Amino acid sequence: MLGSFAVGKTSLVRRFVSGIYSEDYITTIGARVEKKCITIEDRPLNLLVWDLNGEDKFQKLNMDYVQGSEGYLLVIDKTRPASLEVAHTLHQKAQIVLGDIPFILVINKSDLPDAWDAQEKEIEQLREQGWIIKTTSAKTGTGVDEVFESLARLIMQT
Amino acid sequence: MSSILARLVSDLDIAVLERTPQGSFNMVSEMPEWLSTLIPETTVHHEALFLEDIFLFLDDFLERHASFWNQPTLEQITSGVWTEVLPDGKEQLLQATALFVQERPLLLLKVPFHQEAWPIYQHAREQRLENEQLVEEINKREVLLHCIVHDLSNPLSGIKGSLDLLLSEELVEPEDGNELVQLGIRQATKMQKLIRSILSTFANEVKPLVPTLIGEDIAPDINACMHEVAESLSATASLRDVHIKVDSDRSKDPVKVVGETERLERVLFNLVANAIRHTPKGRKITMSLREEGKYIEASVEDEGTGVPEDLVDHLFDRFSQGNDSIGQAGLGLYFCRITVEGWGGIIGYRPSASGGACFWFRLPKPIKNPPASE
Ligand SMILES: Nc1nc2c(ncn2[C@@H]2O[C@H](COP(=O)(O)OP(=O)(O)OP(=O)(O)O)[C@@H](O)[C@H]2O)c(=O)[nH]1
Ligand SMILES: [Mg+2]
Repeated sequence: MLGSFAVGKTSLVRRFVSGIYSEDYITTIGARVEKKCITIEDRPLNLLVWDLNGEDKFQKLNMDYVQGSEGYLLVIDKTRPASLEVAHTLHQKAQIVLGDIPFILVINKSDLPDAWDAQEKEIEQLREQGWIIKTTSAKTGTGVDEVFESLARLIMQT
Repeated sequence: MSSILARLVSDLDIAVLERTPQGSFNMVSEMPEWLSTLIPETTVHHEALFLEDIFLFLDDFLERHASFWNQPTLEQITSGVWTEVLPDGKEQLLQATALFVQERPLLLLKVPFHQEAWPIYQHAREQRLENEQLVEEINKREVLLHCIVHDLSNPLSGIKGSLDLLLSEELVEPEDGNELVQLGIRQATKMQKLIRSILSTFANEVKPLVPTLIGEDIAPDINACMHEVAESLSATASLRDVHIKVDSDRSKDPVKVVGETERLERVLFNLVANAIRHTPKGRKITMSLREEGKYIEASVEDEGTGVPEDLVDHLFDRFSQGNDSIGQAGLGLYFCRITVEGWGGIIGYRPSASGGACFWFRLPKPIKNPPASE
C-alpha cells in the first residue's frame, strides 16, 4: 500500500481483512503486515498486505519494505489533489526498485463529494497512458474487495 | 545473564532471544510484558519459539537475512520499524536486531523511540491535513469572489449605458437633473475601474508565483535541495548500482533561487529519478550548479545513451514519453516545466559530453531586499 498520509491505506486494509472501519485517524509508523486468504478462479491464495507509512518530512518510505513485493496499490484521496502528486513520486521510487510490476491507482473516499478542483483531467490522461484506475470507499466498503482481487489477478497473470 | 544486566535489559523493555540451529528462538532475558501477550499460552518455558509464526513481519525479515546466521560476524542487522496490534487493541511499535555476542546468535526485539514520538507524528500529520484543507477552502473562496465581482460588472455596464444615453439624447433638461446624471456616470465609471483592478489583482494571484516578490530571506537554497534529493534517492539508486554525485559541497554557502523548497525538490527529484531509470549499472549521475548572470543553472547529467533526436523537441510536453517502456516520465517532465516557468525560469535538454542526457533549468536569483510590506 503506497500513498500520501491519511489517504486511507490502513482503512482499506482493515476493511478488506477484517471488514471494519473507523472514523479515527491513527497514523501508521513503519509497516503493518496483514494476511488474508482469498480464492481466485478456484485457487486459494495467501495475500500478504504490507501497509506502509505515507511519505512526509518525518518519514521516508523504507525501500526494504517495497522490495520483494509482487504488486502494489497506489492510493490517493479524491478530495486532496496533493495526494496525486505524492503518488507520482512514490510510483517512480517503486518502479526504480521493482521495475514494471502490476499496480493499480486507487482513488479512495468515493463516498465524499468531489473536490472543486477535481483532478479528473490528469486522471483521464493516466488512464489513456494505460494505468488501471479504480475507485473505492473504505467507509462504505464499495470497491474494496474488488481492488485487492484485481491486483491479485494481475499478479497471477504475470 | 548477570542480575544487573538482566535488570537493565528488562528496564529497557528489550527481549533477548537466542537462535537454535533449528531456526527457533529461546528467551534469554526476561519476557517483556508486550511480548508475553503475543505468545500463545501453549508455549511453556518460552523455549523453541518460532517467531515467524508470531510476527508476519519477522517471517520476511528472517527469511531475507537467513544467511546472516551462517557464521559469526561483527556486523549486525537492524530491521525497519513495524506495528503489531496487541490483543487489547493497543498498537505496539517494534524493531528487531540480529547480532552475534561471543559467537552466540542473538535476536533483540525492542520498542523503538518512534513509540514515544508517535503523538508528534500524529499531531504533525493532522496539522498538515488541516492546512491542506484550509488552502483548498481559500482557493474556493477566491474563485467564488472572482465570480461575484465578475457578475457585478454586467449590470453596472447596463446602468452606465443607460445614464450615457440619457445624457447624449438630451432626454433630461439641465434643470431636471443633468448634473445628477453626470454624477451617476462618474460613480459608475469609478466602480468599473475598481472592478477591473480587483479582477486583475486576482489574475496575478492565481499565477503560480510572482518572481519579483520572493526575497532572499524566504527563497529556497537549491544547493541544500540537491543534497536532500540525492540523499533521498541514494538507497534507490544503489539498488541499481547507480551512484549520485552532487558537484558542490553541502556545507557551502546557500545558493538562493526564486521558488519554493518542496516543489523545487520535486522538480529535482523528477529529473534524478528519470536519470536513474536511464543509467546503466555501475555508472553515475552528476548534479551541478553554476551562475549565469541573473540566473542559477542547475543540471542533472547521466551516463546513459541520451534522448533520441526525434524526441527532443517534445520532451517537456504533457504527453511526451520516451519510446522505451522503462517508465512514464511524461507527466514528470511536464510538471518540471510548468513549475520552473511559473517561477520565471526556463528548462531544457542538451546531450552531455559523455553521450548521456543532461537536463538543465535556470531560475532567477531572488531580490536582495524584499519590498517592505505595509
Ligand atoms: N469518508 C471517508 N473517510 C475515509 C475513507 N478511508 C479512510 N478515511 C478516513 O481518513 C483518515 C485516514 O485514514 P487511514 O486509513 O488512517 O489513512 P492512512 O493512509 O493509513 O494514513 P497514514 O498511515 O498516516 O499514512 C481516517 O480518519 C479515516 O477514517 C473513506 O473511504 N471515506
Ligand atoms: Mg496508515
